[in-house]
Amino acid sequence: MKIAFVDRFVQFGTALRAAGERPVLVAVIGVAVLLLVLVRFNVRVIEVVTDGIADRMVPAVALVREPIALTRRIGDQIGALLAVRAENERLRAENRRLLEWQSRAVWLTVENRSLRTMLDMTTATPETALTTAQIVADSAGPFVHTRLIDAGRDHAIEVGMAVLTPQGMVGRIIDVGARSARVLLLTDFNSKLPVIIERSGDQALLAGDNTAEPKLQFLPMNPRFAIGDRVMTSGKGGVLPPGLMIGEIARIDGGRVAVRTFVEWPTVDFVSVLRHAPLPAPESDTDGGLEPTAPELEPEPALADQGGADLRGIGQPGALVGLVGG
Amino acid sequence: MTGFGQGGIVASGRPGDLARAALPFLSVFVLICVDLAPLPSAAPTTIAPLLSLAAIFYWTVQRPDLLGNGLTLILTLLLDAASGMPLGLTALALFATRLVLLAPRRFLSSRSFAVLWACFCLVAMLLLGLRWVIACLFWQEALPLRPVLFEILLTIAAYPLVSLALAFLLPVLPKPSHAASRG
Repeated sequence: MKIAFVDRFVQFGTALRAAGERPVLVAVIGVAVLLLVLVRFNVRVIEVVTDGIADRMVPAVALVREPIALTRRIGDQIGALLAVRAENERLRAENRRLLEWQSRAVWLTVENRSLRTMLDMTTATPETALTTAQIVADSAGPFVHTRLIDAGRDHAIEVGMAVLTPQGMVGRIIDVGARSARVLLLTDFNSKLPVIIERSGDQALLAGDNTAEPKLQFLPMNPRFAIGDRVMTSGKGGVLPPGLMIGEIARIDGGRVAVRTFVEWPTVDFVSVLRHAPLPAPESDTDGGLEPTAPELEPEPALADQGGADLRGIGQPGALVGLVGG
Repeated sequence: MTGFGQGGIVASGRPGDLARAALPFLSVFVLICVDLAPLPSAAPTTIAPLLSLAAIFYWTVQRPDLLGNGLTLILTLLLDAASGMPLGLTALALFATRLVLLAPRRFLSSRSFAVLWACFCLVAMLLLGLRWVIACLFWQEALPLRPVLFEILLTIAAYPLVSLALAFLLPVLPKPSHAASRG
């Protein structure tokens, strides 16, 4: 029965070939154009199909990438062994620097708490949690700067969530399948993020342009920042939490301000998705109280299985800076 | 709408023949996975050769009866969907290139490796250049051209290696029958 159906399909193909290949090619080009038009108008069916395909491709790509990852790990191990003495010195120096920062952070926390008490300010902040995922696929081309990760709806990942490495923010989630999600990198020309410059407090929009260094747009009239100032998310719009480290100002060339991201791209293999619920809209605050309620996050099964990995404290102001700060 | 199975391979109904006839499709699928595998790179995006394109060209020239337009469309859609590009972008560029190069294809199949490689240079430039133009039109944005030029050069450079690897599969494939002549 199945063979007969395939034979009929083959006969149809043969009939088409008899008519010449040109009409077939024109028909296929028509299908491709139609698909592009549907994608352009964000037709939901196409999104579902694309996410479904990406989901199913993940195991195959993961299988192929394993030998590449193994070779890389062996190379890293050999490199680490050769550089162990220098690395030890570097870590000692870093440890000294971090201890200084720790004492400063403790002092700032105490000061912050007392100031909040004096102002009778609420300390409630939206709860956050992290989900760790592995990057399984690249964008296989120069047009889009995206990555496919092996965690999706099943791991409570949602569109808009920030994606981080220990060095800084990588990007945000733009598509979610059941077992995979697509990350739009900060450098993609479609990426636009509200940011703040740490030292000067200037606010701007960080826009990717498909180069390694995204640019700052919509700067204030008299900006006070300088080269080397750190750039972090401002939290404007309530989609991303404030204080996620992004990078530092690398170049100021006339009106163009380029930001060098903190992320070490060659080592990005695992990322953390910050499961931060966006702030609720003012209309949804039905009780009219001044106390904002923290949106509840569903516990992520994988984290619960690993002994709970209590990461909820990272929602506190400053803690996020510590989490991804350079 | 050709594909493996045309010209009596499916009609014979032997599972072994079917599996062997599926090798070109599977080889391109594996190379798509290799294309998608993240490589360590100092830049946010890796400029790498598009190995799957080299494989599609190879099979289109050597055994068009086993990798026809239908299967090629499926493979390009898989590539687009998994790589996060608009669905149909690579397919449109590839089939437009095929349409342009329809006449010289018969000429290609009997030529030496050097001629095939030269033809692949032309195909890669046309296809990836066209893909860049379509992408610019789609997003209404002038995307950087330099990464595309590097991608073209790397893809052209990778062709000998891909064709050498795929040549090992040629003897395993079922013999082309009378009906499945090159086209």
